[in-house]
Amino acid sequence: MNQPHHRPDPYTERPWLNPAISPFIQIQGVTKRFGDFTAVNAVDLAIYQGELFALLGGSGCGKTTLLRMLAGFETPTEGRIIIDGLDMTEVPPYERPVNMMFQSYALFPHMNVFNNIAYGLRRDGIKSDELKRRVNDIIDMVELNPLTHRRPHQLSGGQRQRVALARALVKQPKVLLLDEPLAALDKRLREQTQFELMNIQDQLGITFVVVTHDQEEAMTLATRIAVMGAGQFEQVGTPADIYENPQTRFIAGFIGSANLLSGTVQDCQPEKGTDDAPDTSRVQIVTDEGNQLLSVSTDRVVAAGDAVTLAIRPEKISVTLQDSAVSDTADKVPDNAPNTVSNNGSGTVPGYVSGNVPENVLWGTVQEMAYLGRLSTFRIKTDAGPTLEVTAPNQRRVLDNRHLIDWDDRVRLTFSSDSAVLLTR
Amino acid sequence: MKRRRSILLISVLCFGYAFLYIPIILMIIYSFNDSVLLPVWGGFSTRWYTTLFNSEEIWSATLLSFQIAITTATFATLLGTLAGLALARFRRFRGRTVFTGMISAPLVMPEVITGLSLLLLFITLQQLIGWPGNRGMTTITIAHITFAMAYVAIVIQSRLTGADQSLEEAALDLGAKPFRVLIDITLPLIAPGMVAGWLLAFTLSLDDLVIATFVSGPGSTTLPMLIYSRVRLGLKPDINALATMLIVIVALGVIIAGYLIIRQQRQLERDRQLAATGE
Repeated sequence: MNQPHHRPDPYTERPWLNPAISPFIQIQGVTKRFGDFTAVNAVDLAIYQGELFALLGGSGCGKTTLLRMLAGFETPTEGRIIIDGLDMTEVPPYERPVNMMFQSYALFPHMNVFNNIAYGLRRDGIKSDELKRRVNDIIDMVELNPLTHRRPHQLSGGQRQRVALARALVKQPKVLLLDEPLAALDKRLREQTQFELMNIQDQLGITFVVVTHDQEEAMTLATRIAVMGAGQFEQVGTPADIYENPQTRFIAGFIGSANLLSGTVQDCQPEKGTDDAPDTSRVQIVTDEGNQLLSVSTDRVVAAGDAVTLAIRPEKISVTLQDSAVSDTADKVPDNAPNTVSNNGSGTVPGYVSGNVPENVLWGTVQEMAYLGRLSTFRIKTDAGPTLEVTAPNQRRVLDNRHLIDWDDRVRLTFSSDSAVLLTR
Repeated sequence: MKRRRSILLISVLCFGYAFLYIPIILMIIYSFNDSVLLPVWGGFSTRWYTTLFNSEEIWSATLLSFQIAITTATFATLLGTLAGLALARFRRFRGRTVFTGMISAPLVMPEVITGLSLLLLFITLQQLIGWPGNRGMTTITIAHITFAMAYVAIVIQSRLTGADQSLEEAALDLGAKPFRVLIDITLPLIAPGMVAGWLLAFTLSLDDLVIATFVSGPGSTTLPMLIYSRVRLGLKPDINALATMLIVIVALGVIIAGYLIIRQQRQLERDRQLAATGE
């Protein structure tokens, strides 16, 4: 954060922050109704050139309808779609500078790999030598060389996916739309293909818009994510924005897992921000379940008596055995202790503004434990009432099946006030 | 785990086959009967086949039937395909329900009524505009197209409904205009359905007696009409010979089709293994 000279121009990585650049794709007040059903409800969105943008949401949230409107298969009931400065709202799909990779791949079954890929170029009237060169170039890129004469049903799932990608890329569209591009692949192939997609996008600089229901996929692939629910955007932002600073309960629960504790604001004290941190408030809330007093810092404006939700990610709660916590003098007196030194020394995240944060401390009993190899997850019933999900990395080897923390152990849970997010919606 | 088939099941099966095939076998045997009387065995002979080949009447009826069937099948496939496309692909247009109902009405309409109403139509037309001048091959063909088209439309519609519509969208997306998509993608996709529809229409037309009887005129006798009139005059064994010939032709067709289907399935199986092994 303090080394801007090591970074490239921040705008090349994050064009959406640059006021001088106008968006490449503009979706303006777009609504789509099918009879009485509103699939997409008055959405606005700006996507910038070179982005790998993900539309994320559950089934029926309208993400596919929105993608189909970008492709031209559906016409918006209201609103405009502008691509590269041209109004595309009424333009039919065959005249748009946009290509799509279908979820089912939609390879033409009666054509071999070469002819599938060449189809789009032939429609543009590209012939003989140039056609061959361009098709072969793209075939090289997706490594399909030995298979050019095969029909789609003679290919494996991964190979079909690459043919579909090549076919959509060969016309060098301004925008590539991908509908659940990895859904039909098995897990190992999916991870490999994810990186291939990112490489290709990097090489060609084409703007990608990906529709997916898989939040992990969206987090890995995308520069920005728009999370959709019931025809509208719940939140638009970078993967880190959405994960670390969810705006609603829906987002907090949908992306990753989060402990959601509803409560009431008891006290709200403004804090003056530093040079690179905005003004915040320190809020004390009382949980509905168990009347536990918790402290959270937030940039939201709340007043005493407001009903709010506190969201805390399982990995942001640290868990220690009750016995070892007592023996550890640094943690013994958590409240108001000058623990700045210990925080900086113990390798916490750099740039972590902790100050003399009074940590939230809870005591509880391990109800369930799942050992996942590199980490373990716990369900811990706190003495105050709420059950919290907590994950902890397994930094030490587990020998003879003796876990450091196991079922029915008494534990101490701590999290700092800026690890939690205060939600008002 | 081997299960002994029960004797009951086997006898039911045998009975079923016997019921279906003994009449046909008897008819084939009797086509080689030397006797003039149909049910009396008079020794082996092929003389009815000779009679058959020399009969002007039977040849012309066969030729007429085939001409009508081929024309019917071709036009019914063309029109039925268009109707099927409209039914399966144009999702929302005014009067779609009425259109669907009217397409499938000939499927359930009693043949007698179809025949009678078409006859009335032709008579009215003749009085109003002087066409068709006389009823015959043209009117039979028009009548056959009318009802065979409905069957083709249903075949095409079901083929299209089952097909992945994203293929056509992909072609549009790649820059093909709608007519181009129809030629490049949709038609190859429904080609098997069109072949099936053509064969179905051909068979329906070749087989039809009732409608043809209503709308035909003097001098145009189709094969089913000829056979039926012969029955009324008293059967001669040359009809047996004719039926045997038809059965042989049909059986050959079925055997060839079966062989082609099995070969195609083996090829698909090989392709699937090729895909599974990867590179």
